[in-house]
Parts: sequence; C-alpha cells; structure tokens
Amino acid sequence: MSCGDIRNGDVLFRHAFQPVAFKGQKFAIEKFWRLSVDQRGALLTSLAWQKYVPEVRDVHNHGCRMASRRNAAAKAAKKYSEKSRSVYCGAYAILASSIRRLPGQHNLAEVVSAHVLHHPEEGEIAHADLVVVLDASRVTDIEATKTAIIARLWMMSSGPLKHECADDTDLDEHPNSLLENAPRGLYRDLRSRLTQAWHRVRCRLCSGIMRRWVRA
Amino acid sequence: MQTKFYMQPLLVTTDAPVGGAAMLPDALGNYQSTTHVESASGSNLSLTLESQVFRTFASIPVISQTQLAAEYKDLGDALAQMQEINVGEDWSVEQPVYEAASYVATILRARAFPVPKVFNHGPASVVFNWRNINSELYLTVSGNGLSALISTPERITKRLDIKYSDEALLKPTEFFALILAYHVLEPLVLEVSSGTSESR
Repeated sequence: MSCGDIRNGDVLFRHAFQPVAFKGQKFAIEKFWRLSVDQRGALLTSLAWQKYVPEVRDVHNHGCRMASRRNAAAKAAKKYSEKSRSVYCGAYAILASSIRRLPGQHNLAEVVSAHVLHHPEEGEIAHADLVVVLDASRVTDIEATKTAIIARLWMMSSGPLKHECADDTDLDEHPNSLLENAPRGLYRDLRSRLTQAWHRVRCRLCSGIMRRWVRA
Repeated sequence: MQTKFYMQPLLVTTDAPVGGAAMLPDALGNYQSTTHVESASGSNLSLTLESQVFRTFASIPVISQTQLAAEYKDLGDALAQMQEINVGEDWSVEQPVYEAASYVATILRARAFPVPKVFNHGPASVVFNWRNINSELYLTVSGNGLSALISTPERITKRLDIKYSDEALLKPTEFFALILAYHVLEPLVLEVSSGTSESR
C-alpha cells in the first residue's frame, strides 16, 4: 500500500472560494483555476487528493479549514474586511489521468509534462501540487498558454459539490449558489461501498504514517 | 440518411429599429427595415429613406447595428473601468493591455461579431470568450500578442497565436477567419431527413 503515489484513476478536488474565484457576483473559471508561474517557468496550483479526503464531508472540512486560515491570516495582517472575507463555496473534481494527458494534446505543444504530486502543506495531508512544465521555446505568450490549459482543465472537471461552512451561516445569500456546473456534469462518486469503506481505513492508516513522516 | 447544415446564427441590419429593440418577424417570417441612404452630388448631401424586406429563419437572432453598438459600448466602458482599478491590484489592466483589448474590441465591432464576454482580466491580459453549444472560443489579448483557441470537451480544435511583432498582425485575416468560422459553424444546426427540414 503506497501512501504517496497518486494513480491515474485517483480523483483530485479543487476548492472554490469567494472572492478569489469570483468576478463580482459571477463565478470566474480562470480565477478559480488560477495558475501561478514558479521560478522555473512551470505553472502551479493546489488540489486535494481524495485518498486523504475520502468522503465528501472530508473534502468540505478541508475547504472550510482553508477559508478559516485565510481569514485568520488576513486578520493578523490587519487586512481583513467583510468584503474580502474568504467564503468556501464548494469543490470540483478532476481525474489525475486527465491532468497527465495534457502533454501531447492537440494544439498544446508547449506542455512538456503535467504532474500531480502529493505535497502536504499547512498541516493539510491531502494537499497535492498540480505542476505543468512548459517548453519555453514554444511559449508564444504565457497568458495564452494559461488560458489554453485552464480551458482544458475546466472541460475535464465535474461538479460542483456545494457546501456552506459553519462559519458562514450568518450570510444572507451564500455565494455557492453562483457556482457553475462543470462541463463533465455533477460529480458522482462511482466507488462501491466496500471500496469507500476501504478508502476510509486506508486514509486513517496513511494519515498516521504521513503525519509521523511530516513531523520527522 | 441525415445531413447537417450549419447556418450563420446572426443577422445584423444596417440601421436601428424604432427604440433600438430587437426586431421581430411578421407572420411570414419577414423583417422590415428602413435604411438611411446617403448620396452626394457636388457639395450637396441628400438623405433618403429606403425600405428593405428580408427573410431569415425565425430561430436566428436578429440584432440591429444600434443594439450591437450599445453592447460594444458597454464592453468599452467595462474595459475602461478595468484599467482604472488601482495599479497593483489583481484586476487592474495595464495600459498596453487595455489599449490592445480596446483595439481588438473595435475590430470585432467593425466586423459585426457578437459581443464577447470578458472571461478574465488582470495586469497582463484580457480574455474574451464566446460560448456555444459544444465549444468555447477564447481570445486572449496580452501585452505581447493575441491568441484564439476553440475548446471542445474532447480537445482544443483550433489555436492561433500572433505576436505583435509578427507581420501577420498587420493582415490578421487568418485570425479573424478563425473567429468568423466559429460563429458561422456552431450555433444552429438544421437536420434534413427524407427530404424534409426541421430547425431546432
């Protein structure tokens, strides 16, 4: 049993927050799939690996903790306001194999490789990095490349799984109603009950191992 | 055996209907338009009215030049606002990008393309977007160049990148042909079966 290898059939989740994934009152796909450029010129973003968030409530708990941390950090930096409050709205799912198929796709010649790597971060053991390595000589314009990759990621996504965190029950109108349906349709957990039960057990076992490893 | 016909989805008239509202066909599917015709002889400029009747499929949206102009004006106003956001903010559009995006919007308007949505904007780019039944067209305007791509659920079917330094930009026929092809080919499909036609 490997605790760190993400297999092609594994599901990963991308969490959506207001305001960062919205443009005013509209869900904005390019803001949601925000890709940053690292020092080597690779494109990066964060995901949560289903192996460590085996149930939908785990996916949402992860999202709520992220929003809570962002708000706490903004308050500590004295930059918090109700307008900038981070509100977790839900998550979208994508298969690891869909991401790994990015290189070699028609009209996406600048993508050399695409990886999903387990990378626990900020105490979140489910955190994974999406890394897209580019051939700089084939990049005409990095902004165009980002749009092309985001268009593919969105087309391969399913969801949303909407949620309202306990911290956000004071909102008159929750922004999760503004999330758009993904092109692949709503997320359906295709695992059998037996598999789901095994994944819960596996998550506990691997979480114990990984936490000890992270502490060490 | 079924055959598919792809139809131009948009008709733009040369002048506005009264009140600027969208035109509606009569019972026979005819649209009536009154056009101002300018003619010059010597130093005199005369203006006459000429009525036109034209017919199209009832399912094809018809918008007037005035309506299209109003929609593009809204787009221009939105671009101006994006540029006026405080510099350094995530959504502030830098001056060269704003100028390029405004220029592209002007060309789209001149060629009577349907008004795009602003998919995304930031310091380095503005992305315009049109959405059809099975695909999306993204037009990325950055400080370095233009990029158009058509994405379906299966793959990116077309992509064209032009740097501002390229000579192609001086004659961007291929570029706008791609956008035009998208609008002509996608939205309306007529299916013909056993000699009868049906629109949907």
